[in-house]
Amino acid sequence: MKALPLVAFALSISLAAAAAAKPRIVVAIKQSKEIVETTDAGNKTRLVPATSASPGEVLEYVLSYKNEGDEAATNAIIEDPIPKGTTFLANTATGENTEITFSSDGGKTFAVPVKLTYEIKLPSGAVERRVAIPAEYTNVRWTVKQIAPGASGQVSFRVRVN
Amino acid sequence: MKPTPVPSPSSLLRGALVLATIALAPAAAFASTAANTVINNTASVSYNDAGGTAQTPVTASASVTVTLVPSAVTISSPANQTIGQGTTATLTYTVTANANGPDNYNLTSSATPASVTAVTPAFPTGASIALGGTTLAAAANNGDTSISVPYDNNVGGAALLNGIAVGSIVVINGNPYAVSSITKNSAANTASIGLGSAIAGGAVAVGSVVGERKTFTETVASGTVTSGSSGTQTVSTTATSATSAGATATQGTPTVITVNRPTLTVTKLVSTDNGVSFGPSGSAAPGTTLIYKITASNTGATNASQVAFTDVIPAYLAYVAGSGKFATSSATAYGAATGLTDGADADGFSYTAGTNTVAYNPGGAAGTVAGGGVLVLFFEAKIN
Repeated sequence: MKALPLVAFALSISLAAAAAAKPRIVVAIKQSKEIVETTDAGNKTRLVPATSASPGEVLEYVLSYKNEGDEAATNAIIEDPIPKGTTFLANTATGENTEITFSSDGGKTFAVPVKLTYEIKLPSGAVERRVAIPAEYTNVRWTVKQIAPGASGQVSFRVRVN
Repeated sequence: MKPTPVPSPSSLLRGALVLATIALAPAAAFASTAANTVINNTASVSYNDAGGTAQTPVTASASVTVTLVPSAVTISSPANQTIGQGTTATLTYTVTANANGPDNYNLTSSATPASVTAVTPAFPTGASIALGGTTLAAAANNGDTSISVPYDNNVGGAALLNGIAVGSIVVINGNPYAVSSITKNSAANTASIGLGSAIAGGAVAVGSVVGERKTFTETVASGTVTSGSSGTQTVSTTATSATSAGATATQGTPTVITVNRPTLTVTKLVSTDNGVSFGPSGSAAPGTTLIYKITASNTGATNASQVAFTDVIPAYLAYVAGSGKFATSSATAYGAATGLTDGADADGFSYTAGTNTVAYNPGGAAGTVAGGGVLVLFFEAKIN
């Protein structure tokens, strides 16, 4: 009966793996678009879930995350490239207890908006460093230091369909 | 900057300044994405466990399909025409799509009559026209022989790209190009349109519309002139998106169709001196051979067709057999005119003894008198 100890050994490993506490993050995207309702009191905008949109319309993406594991997740980085065919809208990235940074180079480097700069050559020949405008953002990144087991949150941003 | 979910007054102010900057950037302001483009958004979350060990990242995706923004076409104003009463004018229109996707356009037209009876214009090839449309996914530059546009999700089939097919004419930045190939790349979410000639006239920005151009014909009958020698039908044609009645375009300059009608006047002269001189009256001895000259003049500006003469020879006169002749100029002398035969045959001239009647009804080209033209009939009769 030499095989038996081997079986028991394998079993104990899988038990140990199952017993080890792990974070497990799940994420979902909800997309909606801004519509303008004309009422007697004036124009009012509200968001409706959308699967289609016209050029010029504003889309909001809400990314919901939750830690369904039994251990805290640390240094969670939620990253979303600005979808092709859309333009990021200024000051629309939200996320409680997150650090929000942006990239204007396709995700190679990220920085907070005031530090997100690029160089431009002026007609005079001088090179000037300018702050990237939000329309030039290519990626949004939210960094969450810690997500406790069972904790959840959401981040969002808006774009305009080109 | 420390991001917070609620913007501080200072960040709101900065946001306003940034928005003003965007509004000044024309590429962003006029960019447009083609209908049926699928905009995919994939977010990813990477994270560590409590001990700092990286875990498998997770992703989530959502997609939005871009919808058609119905837009008015560009419709040409065909040149004015002049037609004869009883004929039909054919107008050829050029229409160019300005929408970001395929659409059908309904055609309507009115003809406003002046000094002519009312008519209803017709569209022989149907009162609706389908035009494709897409937008540039990347800027097009001088010399490019293909353009990149968004993938259309194969709506309308593989042979069509948002209604555009090989052989279609597309207009980019006002210039027409023939489509020589269509290559779809669903993985890259783009498609390539090969052009029969290179992009000319300068770079074209991303998002610019690539609109299909087609022609259609419209027929307008003359109607009947009610006063004077001519009237006009003023034609105005409109193309309206079948998706949105507000997306409508009418030709900029109405097409004026001048309808001319023929006006015949007839004179009858007689010669008592064997054709040396003709006058409205004369005197001659019995036995004299008279030459009659009947002139039909068309003083209108268009053809008079089926011009026919009938003349009953008065008493005391006898028709001279075989004396019928015709001419197409009033200056032609009897001797130089073209002879006609008395019998019922192809020349249309006949003499009927029972009724003592001369008739000339040549029909066809010979019986057609152009505007300003004449048809002259001669025959001889002898005083008994």
